[in-house]
Amino acid sequence: MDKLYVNFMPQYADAPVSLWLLRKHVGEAAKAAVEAVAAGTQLRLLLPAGASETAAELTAAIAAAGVGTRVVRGSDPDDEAEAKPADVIVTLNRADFGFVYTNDRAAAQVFSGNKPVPAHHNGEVTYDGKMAPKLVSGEAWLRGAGVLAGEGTYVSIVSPDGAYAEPVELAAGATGADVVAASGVDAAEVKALYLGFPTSVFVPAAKLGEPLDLSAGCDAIRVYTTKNCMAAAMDRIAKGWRKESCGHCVFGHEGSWQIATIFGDIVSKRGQANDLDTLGNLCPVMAKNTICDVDATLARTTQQAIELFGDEIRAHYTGAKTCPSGECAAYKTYHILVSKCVGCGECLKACDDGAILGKADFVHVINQAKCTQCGQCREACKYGAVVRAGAKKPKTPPRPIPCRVHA
Amino acid sequence: MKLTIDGREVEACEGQTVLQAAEDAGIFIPHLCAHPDLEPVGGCRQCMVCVDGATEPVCACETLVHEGMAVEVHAPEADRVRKMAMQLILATHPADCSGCPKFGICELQSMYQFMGVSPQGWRLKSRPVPTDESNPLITHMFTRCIRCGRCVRACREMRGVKVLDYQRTEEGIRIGTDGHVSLVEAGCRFCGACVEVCPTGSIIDVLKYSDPAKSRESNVVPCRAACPAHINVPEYLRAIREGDYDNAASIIHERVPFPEALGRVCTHACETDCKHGEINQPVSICKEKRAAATFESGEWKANVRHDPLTGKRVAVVGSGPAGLTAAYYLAGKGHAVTVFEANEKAGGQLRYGIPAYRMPDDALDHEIQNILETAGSGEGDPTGAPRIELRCGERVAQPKDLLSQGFDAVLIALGTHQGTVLPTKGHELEGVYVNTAFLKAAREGHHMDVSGNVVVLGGGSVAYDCARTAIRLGANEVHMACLEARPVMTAALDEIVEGGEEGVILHDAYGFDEIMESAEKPGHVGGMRIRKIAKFYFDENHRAVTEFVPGGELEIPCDHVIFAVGQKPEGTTEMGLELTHGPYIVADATCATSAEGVFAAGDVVTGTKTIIGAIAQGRTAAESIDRYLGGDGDITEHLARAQRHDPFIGRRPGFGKEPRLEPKVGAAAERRTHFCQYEEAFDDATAHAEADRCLQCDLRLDVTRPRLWNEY
Repeated sequence: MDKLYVNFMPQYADAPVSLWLLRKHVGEAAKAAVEAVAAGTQLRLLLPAGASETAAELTAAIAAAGVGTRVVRGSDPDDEAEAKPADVIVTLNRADFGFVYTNDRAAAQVFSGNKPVPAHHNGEVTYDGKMAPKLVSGEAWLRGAGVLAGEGTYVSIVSPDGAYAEPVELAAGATGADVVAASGVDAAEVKALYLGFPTSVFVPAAKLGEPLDLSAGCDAIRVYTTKNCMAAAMDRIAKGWRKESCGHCVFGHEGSWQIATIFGDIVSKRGQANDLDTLGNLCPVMAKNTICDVDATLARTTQQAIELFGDEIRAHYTGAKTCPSGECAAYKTYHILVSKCVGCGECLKACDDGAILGKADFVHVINQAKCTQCGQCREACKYGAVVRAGAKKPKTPPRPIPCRVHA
Repeated sequence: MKLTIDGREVEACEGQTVLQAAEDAGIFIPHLCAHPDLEPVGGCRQCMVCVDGATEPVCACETLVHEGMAVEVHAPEADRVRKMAMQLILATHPADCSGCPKFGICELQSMYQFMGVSPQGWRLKSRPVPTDESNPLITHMFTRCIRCGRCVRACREMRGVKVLDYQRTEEGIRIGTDGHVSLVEAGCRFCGACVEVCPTGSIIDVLKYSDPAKSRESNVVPCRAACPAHINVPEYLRAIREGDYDNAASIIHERVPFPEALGRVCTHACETDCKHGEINQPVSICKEKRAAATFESGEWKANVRHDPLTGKRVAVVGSGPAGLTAAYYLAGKGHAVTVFEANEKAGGQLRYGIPAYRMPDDALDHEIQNILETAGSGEGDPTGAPRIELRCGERVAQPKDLLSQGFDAVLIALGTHQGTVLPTKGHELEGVYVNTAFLKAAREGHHMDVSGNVVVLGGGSVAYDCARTAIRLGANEVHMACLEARPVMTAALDEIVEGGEEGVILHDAYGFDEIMESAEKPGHVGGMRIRKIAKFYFDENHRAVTEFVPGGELEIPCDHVIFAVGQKPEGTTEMGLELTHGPYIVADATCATSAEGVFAAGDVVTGTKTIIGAIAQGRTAAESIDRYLGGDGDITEHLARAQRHDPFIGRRPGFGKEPRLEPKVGAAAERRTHFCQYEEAFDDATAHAEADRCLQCDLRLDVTRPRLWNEY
């Protein structure tokens, strides 16, 4: 009998699209499995650890049709599954990260009771010297079996503030504008889209009208608006990748650490003068020298971010050092408005850092050099005179002046 | 096939990688994750080379050679990737090498110095991981780990143990066990392969087994090093595990002619140093020797050394373990040996110093018979005389004189057969015995009277032999008093425990006050007064100081007192040889004495020590005497068949918790009534199971050692 290996591991833990589709169509999926067995194919399905209920539901439905089925844990060695064969075996994986499962060799490790170890020899030898099978993605299998009707692809759209929406089907040939429309974000405010792993490409606002190429696969598309800082976006993307890095190669593990650390520094006002040059130096080499595609993709994403958003990122550590979009907390400052301050002195009392100057009936002034952005002054002010400002700062006097308004 | 590496023509085989071809040709290509014995992964990017003019570098560890290939190790593109990778590694590696135990032998250090790179310009931060010293034998200092994965591959692929793996943590990936459990819990087999392949100071041997004063082999296989005769312990345990008792016996016989005796009464320094002792208990190495001797069929005899006769004659005075060992090896080298034994039978202390319930006559007779027989007759000698002639009942008062009686060399291996009597008040009373005479009489079957109560003075093995012999001879109560507190007594723990079971009443940390005269039988022992010691130490002048517990006197009514406080050689003062510490013969490291042609070995030189120590001395003496007689001094024998070392030891959950197996021992109430050996030999299944506990530390020595660049 032929064996077919189907992978329902999510690429993004936050966007388990294949699994969502399986859960939604469990009855039909069971029917497809029964048909596959009848046609002479044994199935091995790989599901995440938390999907035991789905696995139970699916195997029960398959068993009801008289087909032998079994659920094994990812830590069980393959021999056990071989010893007690069944036409449909569902393997519940033991780990919850995702990117690595797009690598066939890595995903196949799980069937041998090992951890997923990726390799660039996709489809070659596994950990235990056995040939790694070619894996089919869960969504592709469901579509091929006729469970999914449409021709498109399912994605989870991520809002500008990071919320994952329920997957929607994007028709073939859909454009960035279609995604924006589906997201409900005002198109005028959109700065870019980010097509998630493994496509991992930014689509800048200027190219929203073009059809999206999702052929490499993509479970999540994030929408960025003008209020999103792209340095902060890269910081989050790189940190996400750090969680996925398997540690088997220097450029993957250490390269992704450098990228994550540098963006982490940039967004917290610790950027260094040649940071983007350093990354520009690293990324082309890193992209070609990781073992698998996971961290190479981060290197390419970083290169693209530098090309598209270099000026915005550089502004964090050059010249006036600002976060142009105003998103980065470290760049936000506190100011006391002349139009509202009554000179009561409550803010001065609340400040633990001695950063506020002023006396009764004078407009108080925050010494930015001493301020630690703790926000105590804003809490203390009953008149709403203390404000937090991002990129655009209000005009304030250099030293206390007599109040223009009174309590 | 031929290829060129940096312009040098190199011969290589089909299927080799570029890295292997370069290694074979002695050309250094930097590499960290690649190891000669492990599958390549291409993760460290140190072995980048450019091939056939291509500008895109590839990993030498994964690229196969082909005919006419042109490899450039230091093409600029290759160097760029290599150096950047090294900089990235160093950026998160602790900056200071000087405190690292691998300083100077670290592959990472050697390689970055070779490349001349530093991590300046990158974000620098070493990842602090606390040093983990909670595991036996292996210390983890993962703050130094560079994730090359050699240890993981060694553990999973080379050994099949599958304990180490990459683990996700908040700080990134590190090496560890699944669920971060201890190595014992994870089922580690403590083979040390991970330590062996680690290119940095991340996985290292615990301090005890990485002593710079010792050789690498002594640190790695301490049992073999601890044995005075250096018996190949892991190798014979391996043979037993395979059920090949013949080969096990051959391996033992390659170093010692007394497996029967050593399998019963050896002090087994090997077990003291056995690394398994750090996990739970040492392997029962000693008793495995007895198992080998029990189940073997004598295959080893086929390959015993029989060099052509030299025409030289050697006299050996004393037929104990030292004397017979020397005789055996000298016979093998073609010398005719005459062994003079003052007693009725051969064996020395094995026969007259150790009670029959520990060393039965038949086993000893069999062993001595083996030695005499395998040494064989003098082939090529028309008289057909045996190579070893044993002459019992002949005391040699003047060994030196033998040189003028046709012998070319003399070995004095007298042992220590004169017991020491302390000048304690009452020591001249009737009923006071001395250890050597008491034990010998018992062994010869005309034992001394032990009716009533017996007090044995002394806390060593011989004291226990006396006490337990007295019990078997029917004494009423048997007491033992010794200066040492129980934890520092020289007797072995099993002797103390078994003696106690048989009824020996131990008074530890007592001074000997007086042997009291009997009121009823004047001139005869009536009791023993001892005093509890509070403190015993040596002062600044190295004089012993004893402080007593006030009111700590104890009077034990008794009829006999046996001194078991030491023994010394007899008759040496009359031999005209240089002596030391009283009656001990001065001999140098080659066993040569102050008289030319006269050698000395065993207890008569070292003082009362161990059987295995005496055997080791016997070997040394044989080597020296052979050299003295014009031979090459090489007494090596090749008796064993070569054994396969299977590096794939496989998974065995719970391995570290498997308890040590002990031989079956007769019940105390029963064994105290006779002199038969009460400890059984291992049966086949137990011998196998216990041998299977061996960590096989020697497998580590089979792992290829990568060379540092300055060794090419």
